[in-house]
Amino acid sequence: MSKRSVIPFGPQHPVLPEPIHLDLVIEDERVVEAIPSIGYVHRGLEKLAETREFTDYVYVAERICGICSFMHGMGYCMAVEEVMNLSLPPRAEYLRVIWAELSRIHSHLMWMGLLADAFGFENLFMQCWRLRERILDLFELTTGGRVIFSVCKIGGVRKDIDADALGIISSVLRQVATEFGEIERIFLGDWSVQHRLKDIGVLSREQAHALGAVGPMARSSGIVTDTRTAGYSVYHELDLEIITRSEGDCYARCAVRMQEVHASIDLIHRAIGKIPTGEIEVKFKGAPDGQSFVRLEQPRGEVLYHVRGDGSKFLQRFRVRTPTFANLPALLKILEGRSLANVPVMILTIDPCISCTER
Amino acid sequence: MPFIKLVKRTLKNLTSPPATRLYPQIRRPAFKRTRGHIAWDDSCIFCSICVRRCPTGALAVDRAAKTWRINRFDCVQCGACVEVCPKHSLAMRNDYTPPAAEKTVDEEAPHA
Amino acid sequence: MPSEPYRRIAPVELLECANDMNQRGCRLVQICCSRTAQDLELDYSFDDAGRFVDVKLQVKPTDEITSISSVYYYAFLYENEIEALFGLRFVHKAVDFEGKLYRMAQTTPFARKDGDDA
Repeated sequence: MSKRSVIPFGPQHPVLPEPIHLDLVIEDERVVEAIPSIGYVHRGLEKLAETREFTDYVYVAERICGICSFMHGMGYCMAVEEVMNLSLPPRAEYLRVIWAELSRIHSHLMWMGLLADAFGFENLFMQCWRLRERILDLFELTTGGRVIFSVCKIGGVRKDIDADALGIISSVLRQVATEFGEIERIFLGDWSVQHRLKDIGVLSREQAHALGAVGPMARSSGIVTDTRTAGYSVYHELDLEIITRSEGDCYARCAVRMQEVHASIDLIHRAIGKIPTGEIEVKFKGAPDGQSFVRLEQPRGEVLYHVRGDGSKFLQRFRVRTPTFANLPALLKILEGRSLANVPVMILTIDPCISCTER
Repeated sequence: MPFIKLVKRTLKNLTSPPATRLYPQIRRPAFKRTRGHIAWDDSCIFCSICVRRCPTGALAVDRAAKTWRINRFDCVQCGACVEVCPKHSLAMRNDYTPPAAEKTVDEEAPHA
Repeated sequence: MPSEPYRRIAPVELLECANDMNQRGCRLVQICCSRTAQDLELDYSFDDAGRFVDVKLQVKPTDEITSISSVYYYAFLYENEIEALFGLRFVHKAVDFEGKLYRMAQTTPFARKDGDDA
């Protein structure tokens, strides 16, 4: 008769990148059940929207998370712009898309490094992050900050990228694509890495749908879903490639994210080719009066922003539903029946971003 | 062969210089747009618009004493104050406030 | 991207609406709670093959809402969050954190307290 014990995992743990706490009920090294406990990074940012002017709240919104920072700022601005019926100049939209896709690349590269660290391959972790430095340098060149850009504002963007900088972005991305090919071959082809990723944490298509998985988590189980196909911003003018796989294991999730890096690099090249000249912001008067729902595709999946205004300077309600919040039940499902040693890898494959989840 | 993929990278690692910099002896030159710290000049009229718009509350202005104070470590270098200043007295410089053991408050006043 | 017009339903129709959405293969996107002038408003958002559908309910802070986690299992997270922040009770949740999902200095910070204006 095997005995059940409970192992507390997190919030501080050497391989855990995010402060989530899981009580793992295990039976002889197999996880039977996982009980989550979140709330370690709850900063009450939604409540802060009631006391910060809506034009200044952008700076708070982009600090909800460090990795998805730009998209949070962009989503907040898009939600308020929709309430106020502002239509942005096309150049501002293209600039936002370029920064958003660069954010996606840097987030996936960071995730790959953390995944390699989770199964003990520190050299690969460092290689991914060395490559990521190039993207962070691009951010600093164009926005002034490596992690928090402070470049989105309601009505447009605050800084322009001139033709020289766009050329630099193009050439750096071409180099990144070549070096990334090397890392990709190791992740997808190396026997030891495959041993740690293949057939681990399988989530079938029906389970992914029943648990409401979003983003690469859903796409790697065969569900074709990408919020960018709705055509927000200027995505309807740039051909999108939705990358899916059907196996639903950790290897598939890794492969989907790697392909997304390539797809984002191509998307940025296309955007740089098509970017029009013109203004980068539109002036507005007044305050938001009404409500809106806006959905974006963050690196981790679909994010939803809900803004309610009543005509005063302070918003009535601001709500963010982040993709990790939606992927948490899927995480609890894939942990069941798996061995304890694979738990860090599985937690990482949902790409947790607990700062976003708890705001 | 699985380990051939890594042999090339390993040999490159052995023969090339380190990817990291020996900071603080060697510093990376900042980019032109890097948001380092806020600089003040004496065209300031002490209207306090920057104080109201600062998202972190890092600024303080004393109109009577004619001083402008910034808490260097509360400032997140967002640039909101630079944009709203009616006299363009504030500017974003590209060098960072050096690390310190305590939070420092810098006070600026017009030269006599 | 303009928002689709929303539907308003009564709290008693909630479970039926959720069942209906589930039969159509919709995914629950989120459950959101906001304070209105008098009461609370719940927004249940669904994704119908890419199309965004929003359903609104007007409830009182003292109401008890039936959880839809029997239909959409993962709704328990959103309902626990609303319970922790607003103090609105949901009954028959699949997993119940009893209002302690987040560790906060104040309980139910979003709920209307004495001395609050609308």
